[in-house]
Amino acid sequence: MGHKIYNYKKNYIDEIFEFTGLWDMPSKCGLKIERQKDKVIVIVTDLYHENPGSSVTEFCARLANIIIKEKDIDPKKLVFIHHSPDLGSKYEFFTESFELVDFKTKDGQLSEPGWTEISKNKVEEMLRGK
Amino acid sequence: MKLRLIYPKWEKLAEQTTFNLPPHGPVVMAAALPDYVEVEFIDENVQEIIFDDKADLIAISVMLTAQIKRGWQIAARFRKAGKKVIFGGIATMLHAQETLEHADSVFLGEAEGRMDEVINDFKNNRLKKVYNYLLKHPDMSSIGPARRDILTHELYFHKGVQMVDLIHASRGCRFTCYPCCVNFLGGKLFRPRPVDKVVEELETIDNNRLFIVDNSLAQDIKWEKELFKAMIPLKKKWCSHTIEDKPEVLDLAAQAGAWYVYQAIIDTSEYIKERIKKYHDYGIMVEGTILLGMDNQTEDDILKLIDFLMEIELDLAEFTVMTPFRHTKAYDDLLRQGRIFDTNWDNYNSGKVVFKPKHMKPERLQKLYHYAWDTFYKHESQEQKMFKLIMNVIEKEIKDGTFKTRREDLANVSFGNKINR
Repeated sequence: MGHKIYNYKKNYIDEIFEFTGLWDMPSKCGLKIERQKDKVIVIVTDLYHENPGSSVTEFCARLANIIIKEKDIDPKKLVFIHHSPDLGSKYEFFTESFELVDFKTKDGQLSEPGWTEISKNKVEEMLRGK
Repeated sequence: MKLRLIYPKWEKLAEQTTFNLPPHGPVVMAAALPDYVEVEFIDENVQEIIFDDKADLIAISVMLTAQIKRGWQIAARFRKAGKKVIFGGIATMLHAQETLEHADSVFLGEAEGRMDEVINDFKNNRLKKVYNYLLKHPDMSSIGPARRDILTHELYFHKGVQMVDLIHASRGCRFTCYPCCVNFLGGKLFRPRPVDKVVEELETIDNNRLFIVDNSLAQDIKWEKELFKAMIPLKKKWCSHTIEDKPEVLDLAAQAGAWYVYQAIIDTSEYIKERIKKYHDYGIMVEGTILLGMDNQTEDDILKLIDFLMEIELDLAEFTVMTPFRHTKAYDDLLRQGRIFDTNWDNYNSGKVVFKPKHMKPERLQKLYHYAWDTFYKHESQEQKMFKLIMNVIEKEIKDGTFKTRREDLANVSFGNKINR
C-alpha cells in the first residue's frame, strides 16, 4: 500500500503512505516509523495540497489503526506523533508543529485521539532513544 | 414524479444588511435531474415550507453549516409524515456523517450525470443510504445551464430592484487556504468550465446583474482572459471574488462588466493597498472581506487593520470572525489544540466566536467584531455605501444601454414581504 522512499536502516521507515480515507477518498500522508527496544515511534505528516483526500487529523484514529495493522506494530508500544510541516508561509498557522497523540484502546483498536503539543527537540530526542 | 427541493433558512449576520439572493446550489442540482422529474422549489429564507406536501421525494439542499441543523429539523417533519428525504449540497458534504442520522439518503459530490441513478433507485424503492461521488468529478462540459426557472423570481427583489443572479464558471481550487474547505468539496485542482458553456448559460439569464460565485477566478490566467473576452459582448455587470490583478486582466474584466470584487484583507501590507488601488484604477469597486481572530492577530493588529481599511478607501466591508468549518486546516489545528468550545452548527454563521482565539478571550474577539462593523460604517452607513455601489452600476448600464428601471409593481415589496411605509 505504502510507497517506500528509502530505508537506510532496518528499523526505520520513511515513506509516503497511501490510505483509503473518509468516504473512501484516496489519501496520503508522510510516515516515519522508528522501532526502538521498548517503543515504536510513528510520525504522520499532513501533506496538505499533495494529499487528495482525508487529513491526518480528521482520520486520526482510523489511520493509526490502519498503520499498526499494516506495519505490524504492537499498540502497547506505539508512540504516535502528528506532524504539521512548515509550509513556508509568513503566517504562523502554516509553521511546523508536532503533537503527541493519545488514544483510548479497546480490543486492540485505537479511538478518541487526544493531542498534546510537543517541541521538535523533544521529537528528535525521542528518535535518538531518549 | 414530483420532487420538492428545499433550501433551509439560517440566521444572517445581524450587522449586515440582509439581501436574499437566489440560491445557486439547488438550481445547479435541478439541471442534473431527469426531464420527467417535476421540481418545485422552496427557499425557506423567503417562503414558508408546506409540510403537508404531495411530493414523492423531498430533497434538501444545504450550502452553509449554519443551515444544516434546520435541514435536519425539516427532514424530521417530512420523515414523520412518511416521506423519503435526501440531502445534498456543500454543508451536507461537510457534515455527511451526522446528516446520515437525519436522512433516508445523502448525496455527496457533484450532481451532473448522477441524478438518473438516484431517481431511478427511489422509484424502484431501493434508495441507497449514501451516494458517494466525492472526488469523482463530472466532465466540466456537462454542467448547466442551471434551472433558474424553478425560482420564484419576484421573491428576490428589494423595493423593485432585482438582486444579482448567481452563476459559477469553475470548480475546485489549486490553493490551500487556512479557513477554506473548497479543496475538500471540489478537489485540489482548478476545474474551469469551457468558456463557451459559461457564455451559453450567461445568455439564458434574464438579469443584467450577476454574482460569479467561484471562490477565485485568479487560477488560470489564460482561461480567465478568454472568459472575460467572451463576456464583453453580453454587457452583463457582475461581482466576483478575487480576479488576477495584472493590467491586461483587469482591463478585460472591466470591459466584461466587472462591477465590484470581494477582496480578502488579512493584513495591512502595501500589497493589499496596491491591489485595491489597481481595481479602482480600472473602475472596479471593492468589497473587503475581513476575517478577524486569526492566530497572527493580536487586539492591536485588529485595531490597526480597521484603521487601515478606512485609509485604503474600500467601497464596502464585510467582517466575519474566524470559524473552524469542518474539513479545513483551521478546524484540524483548533481541534488538536482543544480550542473549539462550541459545536452547535447554528452558531457557525461567521458572526459568532466558537473557538478560543490565540491572543485574546473569545468575548473580546466578539466585541472587536462588533467594533469593526460599527467603526467602518460610522461616518457613512452601509445603506449609503451600497447606494454608491448601485449608482456605480447604474452609470455603467446607462453608458452601454443596458439599464432597466426598477419594477414599479414591486416597489413596496422586499423579498416577498410588503413594506409598510
